Amino acid sequence: MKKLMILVFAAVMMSSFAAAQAGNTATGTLAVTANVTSSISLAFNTSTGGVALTGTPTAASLAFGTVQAFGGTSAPGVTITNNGTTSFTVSSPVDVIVTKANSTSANYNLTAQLTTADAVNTWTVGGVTVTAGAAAPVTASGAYGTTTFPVAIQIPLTGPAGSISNTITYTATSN
Amino acid sequence: MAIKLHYFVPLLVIGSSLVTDGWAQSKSTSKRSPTPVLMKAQVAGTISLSLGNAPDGVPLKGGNASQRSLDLGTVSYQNTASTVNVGVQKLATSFVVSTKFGMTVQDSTGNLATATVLAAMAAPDVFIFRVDGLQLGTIPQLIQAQAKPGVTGLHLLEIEVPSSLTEKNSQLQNSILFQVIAN
Repeated sequence: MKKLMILVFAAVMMSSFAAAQAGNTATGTLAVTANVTSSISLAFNTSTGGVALTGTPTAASLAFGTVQAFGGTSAPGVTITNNGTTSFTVSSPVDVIVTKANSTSANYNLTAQLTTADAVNTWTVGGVTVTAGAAAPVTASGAYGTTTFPVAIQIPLTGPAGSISNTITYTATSN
Repeated sequence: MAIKLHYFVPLLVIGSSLVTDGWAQSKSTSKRSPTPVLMKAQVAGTISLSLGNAPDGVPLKGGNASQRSLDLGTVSYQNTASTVNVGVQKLATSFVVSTKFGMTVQDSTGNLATATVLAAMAAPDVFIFRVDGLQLGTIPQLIQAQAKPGVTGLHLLEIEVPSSLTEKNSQLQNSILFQVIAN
């Protein structure tokens, strides 16, 4: 009987403390969900030995300055090549940085396209002719990171003197 | 070893009163109007935690104020977020998704001065969860030491997503467990 009393007392006291303690605490739960998707980015950077780019990494400008087929002095980073008696080419290396995030993609596909058609001069990116008619495939398996793709304009000697201006749109797609 | 019963009987009465929700009754209850006796456990009161929306945060879902859900929608390193009031900050090798939410400690008695709020993750995660800048783990840690009852505090939830995670393991789904303790 004595042992029973002790057990009853202990059980009642323990439940009392538990009830009192339960009144002093509270809990809450915040379930958090999100869908993380893969993505890639493309940016331009001044290449070693090339023309210094201006603007922003994703909207850069490349100015060759004043160029001429014979004689003269070109701006830093500008390479002028004479193509016999028909044309000359001005070019500069440009670094293209393609970065991936949250993706298993091994490489990327890069295309380039002129905004405005140019019937006189020939534009190339990485040696690939770029027009306004369609996106030109610059590379089908570009390695993520920094890759140098020279930008060049082939100017015919028969063309008029004056300003040349255009915009090239680069599009990188993960493979 | 003999037990002196008269020592234990008063203690037993007190203990029993506590488990009857703080109310004590005499044997002659049926003959009188019941007279409530407020016990100490009742003075301490019942506190609760309420999770709510922040003005510039993602609206929480779920009807139970203490058990809400937060869907940050689709997020990515480059294309930021598709959900309003979800911020994305790009870092070198990761990006941080953030939003705000409200939290209120409620005390039905009005006698509670302050409370301590702890938080922990329900499960380990490859994503890094932070509340008000404090990184959370599965062990509860202090996020607010002096929470005043009835006052809604706005809290910043940040989730850092490593860029190295791929499509295969980048589903974000976890729960933050909050615990409030009366001071």
